[in-house]
Amino acid sequence: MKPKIIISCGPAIDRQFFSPAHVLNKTYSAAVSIAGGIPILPVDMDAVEELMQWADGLVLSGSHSFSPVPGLITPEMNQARMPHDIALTKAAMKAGKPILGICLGQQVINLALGGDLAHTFKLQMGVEHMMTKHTVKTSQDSLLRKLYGEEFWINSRHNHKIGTVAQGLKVTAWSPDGVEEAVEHESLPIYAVQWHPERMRSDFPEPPEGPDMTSLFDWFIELCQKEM
Amino acid sequence: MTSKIKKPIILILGEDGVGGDGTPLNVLREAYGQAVILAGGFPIWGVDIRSAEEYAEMSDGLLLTDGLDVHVYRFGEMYREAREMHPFSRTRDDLDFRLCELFIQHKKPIFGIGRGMHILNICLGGNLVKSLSEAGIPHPGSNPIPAIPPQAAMPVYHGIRVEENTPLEHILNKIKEVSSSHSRAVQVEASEMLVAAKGEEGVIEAIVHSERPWIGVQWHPELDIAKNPAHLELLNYWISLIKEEK
Repeated sequence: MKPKIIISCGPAIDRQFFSPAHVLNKTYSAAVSIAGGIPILPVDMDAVEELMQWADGLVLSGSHSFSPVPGLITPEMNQARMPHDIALTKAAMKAGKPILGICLGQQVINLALGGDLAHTFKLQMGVEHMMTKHTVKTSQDSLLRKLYGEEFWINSRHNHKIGTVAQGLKVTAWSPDGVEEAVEHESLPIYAVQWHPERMRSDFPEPPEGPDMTSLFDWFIELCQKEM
Repeated sequence: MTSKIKKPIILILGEDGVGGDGTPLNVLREAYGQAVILAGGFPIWGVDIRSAEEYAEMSDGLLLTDGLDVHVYRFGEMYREAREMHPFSRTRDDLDFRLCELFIQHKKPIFGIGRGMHILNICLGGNLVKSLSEAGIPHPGSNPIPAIPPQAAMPVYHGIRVEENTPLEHILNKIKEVSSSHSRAVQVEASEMLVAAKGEEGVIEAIVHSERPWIGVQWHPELDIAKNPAHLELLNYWISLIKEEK
């Protein structure tokens, strides 16, 4: 049997849907599927422990990005989604299942492990990480160094980033302007990137200068399979 | 180590959507999952045809949801004029039909809502009316051009006539009226299926297998549970049959 991969999804925020709905970009489910995983989306958020016991791995997906303007950042902002994603993360950790965090997913992992977020880094640091591209430098002995080398191009689509890095996590990639771009856990099978590897595949990689990140998903699915 | 899930695992298939930047989306309306949870099932959401066999193997029941009409070639028809054409998603049709076929092959439980009832009926050899209004069949809530999405249309309600001696008779007798927003309907029910209810003008509103847990309804039971708990009873009944099998 192929590994069962839970992919977190979020509430629809677009009025085209008219009634409350869950949404996930197909880029995530296609990347997991093509790498040999069975993409399964969660529905019952009160049953995540049972779900993660049953499944073989968790991909924490990105989301619609909220404004970094301080006045617009409210505790309610993330209530629709964050508690679910954190619950899924904790359930996966409890069950010992591998986790791959993408964009918001990296932030969720940091929160679940006790770190916090920097919502206004764009204003404080004077940098732009929304709808752009840049390079990252990876640390020695990291997964990303092994897969893609010391320096490579990635896409950038986020208004928030991790702040204080949670205990147990180490940053394994940095942008030239000093943003934490990837993390790995020291002892648990937890990996995350701040960019969108699922958009760096196939015929229209974003950005075209970057490596094809199909291999990141291949590697993750293989890891889930090993642990089955 | 993986563990088993005790409740019946209900595979729900959702819709296709398009995001603001043109990215294709998987979309699932919350009401379907909530209804399955209320009825005692464990809902999971399947999204990719490359895992169709695995989805069928791991799940105890299939919930086919409503949405765009299926392409008419799925029941051996063709569009002859542009005005007959309905918006459709080949990707979604492929996934829904493949899963429905697999569940039929494995004799596993299926519940079809709206479009899902149409797919169940087609997979078992029945067919559909291409367009109720074009065919001159009067029916409240039938739209010449389907609303996009179907749920965007305010539902009209109409009464049903319950057929005798079907497994659903007792539950359907508690339902006086059903929501209606569709341009197609089951024309000839599959030979294995019984008609369980019709609209006041004779349009087929519910089909059921005499022995197997295969049920299709034209309306949206998941949206009217608060209004009339009998809508939930339909799902309760279906899931109780799955529990017997599990």
